[in-house]
Amino acid sequence: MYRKSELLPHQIHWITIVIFAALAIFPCLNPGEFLIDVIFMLFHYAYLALCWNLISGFAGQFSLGHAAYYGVGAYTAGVLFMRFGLTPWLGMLLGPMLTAALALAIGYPTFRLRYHYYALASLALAEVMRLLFLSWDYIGGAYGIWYKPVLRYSWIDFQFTADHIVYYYIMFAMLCGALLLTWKIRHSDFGLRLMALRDDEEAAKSLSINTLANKLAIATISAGLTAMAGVVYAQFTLFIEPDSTMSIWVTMDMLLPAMLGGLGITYGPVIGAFILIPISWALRAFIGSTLQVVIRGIILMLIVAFMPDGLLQVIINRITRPALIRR
Amino acid sequence: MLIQVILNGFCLGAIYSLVSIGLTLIWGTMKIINFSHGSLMMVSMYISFWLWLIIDLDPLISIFIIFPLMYGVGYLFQRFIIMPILEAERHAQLLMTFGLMLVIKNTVLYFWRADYRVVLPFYADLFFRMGEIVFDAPRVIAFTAAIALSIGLHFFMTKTSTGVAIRAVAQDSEAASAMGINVHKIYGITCGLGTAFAGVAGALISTYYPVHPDVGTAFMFMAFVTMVLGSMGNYLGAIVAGLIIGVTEGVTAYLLSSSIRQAVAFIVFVLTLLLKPEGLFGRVLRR
Amino acid sequence: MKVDKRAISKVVAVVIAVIVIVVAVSGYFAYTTLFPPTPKVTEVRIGCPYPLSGTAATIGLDCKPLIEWFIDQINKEGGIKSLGGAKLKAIFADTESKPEIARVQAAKLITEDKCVVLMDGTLSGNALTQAEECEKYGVPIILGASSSPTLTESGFKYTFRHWAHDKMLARSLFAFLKHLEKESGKKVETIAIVTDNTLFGVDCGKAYKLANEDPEVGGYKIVEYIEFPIGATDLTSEVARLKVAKPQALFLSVTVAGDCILLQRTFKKMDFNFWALFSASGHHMPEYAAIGKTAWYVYIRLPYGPDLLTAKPWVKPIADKFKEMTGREFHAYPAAAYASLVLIREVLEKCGSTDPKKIRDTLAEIFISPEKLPLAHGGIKFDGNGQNIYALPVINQLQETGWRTVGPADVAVVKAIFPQPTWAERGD
Repeated sequence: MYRKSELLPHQIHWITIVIFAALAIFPCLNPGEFLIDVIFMLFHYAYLALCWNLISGFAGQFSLGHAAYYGVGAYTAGVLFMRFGLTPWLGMLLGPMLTAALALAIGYPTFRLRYHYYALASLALAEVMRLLFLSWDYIGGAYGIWYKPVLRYSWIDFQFTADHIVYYYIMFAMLCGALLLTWKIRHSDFGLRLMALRDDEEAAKSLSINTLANKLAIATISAGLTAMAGVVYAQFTLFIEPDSTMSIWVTMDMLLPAMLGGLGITYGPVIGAFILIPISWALRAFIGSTLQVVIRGIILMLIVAFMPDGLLQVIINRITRPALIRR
Repeated sequence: MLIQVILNGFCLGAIYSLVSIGLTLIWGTMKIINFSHGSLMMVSMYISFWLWLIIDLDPLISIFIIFPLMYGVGYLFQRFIIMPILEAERHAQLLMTFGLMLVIKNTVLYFWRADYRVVLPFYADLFFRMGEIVFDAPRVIAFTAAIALSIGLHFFMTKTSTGVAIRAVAQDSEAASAMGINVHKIYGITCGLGTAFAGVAGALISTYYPVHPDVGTAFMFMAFVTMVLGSMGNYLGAIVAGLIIGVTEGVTAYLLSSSIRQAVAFIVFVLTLLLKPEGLFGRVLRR
Repeated sequence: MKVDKRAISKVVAVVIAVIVIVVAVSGYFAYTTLFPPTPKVTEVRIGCPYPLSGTAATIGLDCKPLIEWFIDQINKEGGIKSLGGAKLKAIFADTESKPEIARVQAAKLITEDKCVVLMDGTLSGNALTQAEECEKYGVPIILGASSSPTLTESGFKYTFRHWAHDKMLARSLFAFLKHLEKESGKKVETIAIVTDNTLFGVDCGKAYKLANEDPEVGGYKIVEYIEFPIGATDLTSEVARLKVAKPQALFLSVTVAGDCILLQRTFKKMDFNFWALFSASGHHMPEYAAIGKTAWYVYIRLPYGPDLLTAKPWVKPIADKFKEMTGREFHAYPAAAYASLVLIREVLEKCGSTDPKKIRDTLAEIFISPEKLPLAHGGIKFDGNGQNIYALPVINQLQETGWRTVGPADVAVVKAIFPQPTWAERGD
């Protein structure tokens, strides 16, 4: 199981710092917008995978409907800007608030469902939301929200079509923040309680851990953070529609890096994203997108078959030899 | 008109039942949710189409080919995909079949493109009219075949030793094993049977519904709803629940609005999970 | 728990990190040195961000071989003469039918592949994000088939669309209905609008409603407005509602051929009769007509119909080549792509430069005469918003002899069959 993640050698922090420092100065090399965009997406998915990992990896509530929070975040920004003329930065506040409320509302009844049932329920709820958003004319329905492009550099309007580098840094900052937050949670009492209830809920309850309260807490954090990424997506693409933001495929994109890298491990999703995203873009260039999805499906199946706890867990097992009994 | 809608809902529901029988059997015995079920059905729709196009074989006759073929596919599926993850983490089980679904769907998309293929059997435009109510032959045949297969399945499950063994394994696989049942062989048979049923459903649907790589997804989602409503693991429940969902979907679209027809089914799904997770036919679920 | 001593030491970790960075950076510089992004002077790059996967894949996959073939032909004929025989090169980038990928790919085509002009002809949502990128970089984009009005109403200076937009197209259908009424002497009172829940469907639905509010062409009573989910498993309930509402004419915008087929067959099954069905799209795909008699009598407003081959026989070899390459009948979308290429070629010849700004200025001025286009447009001339003012939607009806051009009056080849025969009259 993934309980052994506390044995990650602290060297990984140094590696991360160096690589991140390099990424921080990378844009100064003037690499061209395409690479900036690709790395932006890398950060984006690493961030999303981290958010997803909070609830699914740490708390064991395998959420297949996380895209709902993402979409709500995106739509919050869009509606604020296009309908009310307010700055989308407000969406960074309002979005997480809305999704936190949503997470509470969804989590309260569904968290007592056992594993597979929770997964199906979260999937169904996300689909319901997607279908409802498709029919909801006030926010555009299937037409979606089309931003009136500002086409320059505007901090107040949160649009930087003129220079994507700003998005790069915003996402980078968010990623670092999420990573730190994840690390802090992981090494806190809160994190311990979460992992306890993940590994054995009954035992955790017998230790008088309020499993529901803890799960709801992490769910709101996870949902809120996901919503913030949704806001960034909205401001990057300048076009929001239910199918691109709330479908099961979006959730799949979120969870694949986490699965690859290591569920329930702080760095897992980041490593997974750093491997997966460049590979998928390279594949796109060489074999086309359809086959690229096939390869991703195969990768998913292989991960699940041979290293269901993720790459990082395998590495940890190799490094820190037992004493621990390998599964 | 409402009667027409309701009756049509039954026909639609019978197909949902057929697809979800496979899902529910697989869950009942192996506790695996098979996300690739829909895509396997889609593949059999393509097989039905190609057989019709190339050797002019009517889909109803091709069922006799598809049933054993998909049975074999299901058996191999169990052997190579499910077997390795039977004892694995739950998230592994969920995602393995999801990955397979991605692979199958996109491979089909890559080779056979996104064009819609239509099978036009000679009875495609054969209608039976009773006053205002009309039935089209393909759907009537599909309904009849689905019901017949369901009855056949029931006989199989109750009167044959294999069927009983499957039910035993679904109820308690350890005890069944202790009684001398080869549990793994039963898993294989169940998977084969479930996939074969999905294959037949595909062949039946292809007589009136255009074939496309995305077809599996829509039917599969409905099959999930049906499976949960009819109590996961309970194949009789799946049959009844399928009919209920089919009628509900049709009536919602008629009386309320088409745009929420799918949403209503999902809401039913969530409510069932929350309020009565054992489904309508409350079986005690294994831990 | 103590970490095993065989764990990597701190020094080794730093060394690994440094090596990774050095490799990455040098790899990048090697890449840009070995594959210099600046194109050879004798090549003009055309970016084609088409969807080659995802929901709109069929269109992209249809257009790609035709585009590549036509460019090949142009190059064989000597390329762009005013640029000293420069060859054209099409660079495709799969947008996967997703708007954010479309944006990134458009940017890539401009910044990495150094394309000087882009062409696209599919989903309007994707076209929007691409148009924004083009506007930012000052590279013109030519839209073939993205019909949302917003694309030419957003003040873009670098977006040019030679196809009509939905409002024009909806209006043309309504106008045609009025014409049919006059011709046949039968008055239509009630209509119904049926769309799927995609962006295109909803957009067209709105355009229909808007056209109906125009007293000149509209004024009908909308007795039913149905928006069904794309890829629905069954449409009997929807048709039942229609049957109860009894519209005399239907206005559809159904994106995928599968739903068109399902709907039409359900009409037949339920014996739902009406006088005319006007479609925005979907029905023109070859799979629809393949279902035989049931498919007949629908009208579609597209700038290409097989009757064009009689009016413009030079298109026939192109249609045949398309059939040879893809196995499918030539239809409006690849024709639009071809027209875009004709436009690009003319513009490059006239402009004599590969500067995107100059290309853009030439586009704003140029006039292409209709004989050069495999479409029914009256030519190409863009207004201040980049919309082709000669975008003439032709109305085709699927009759026994295939898709026939029945309107507008000055281009009609055969008479429309209105009202369409009932299911009983059609026989089996």
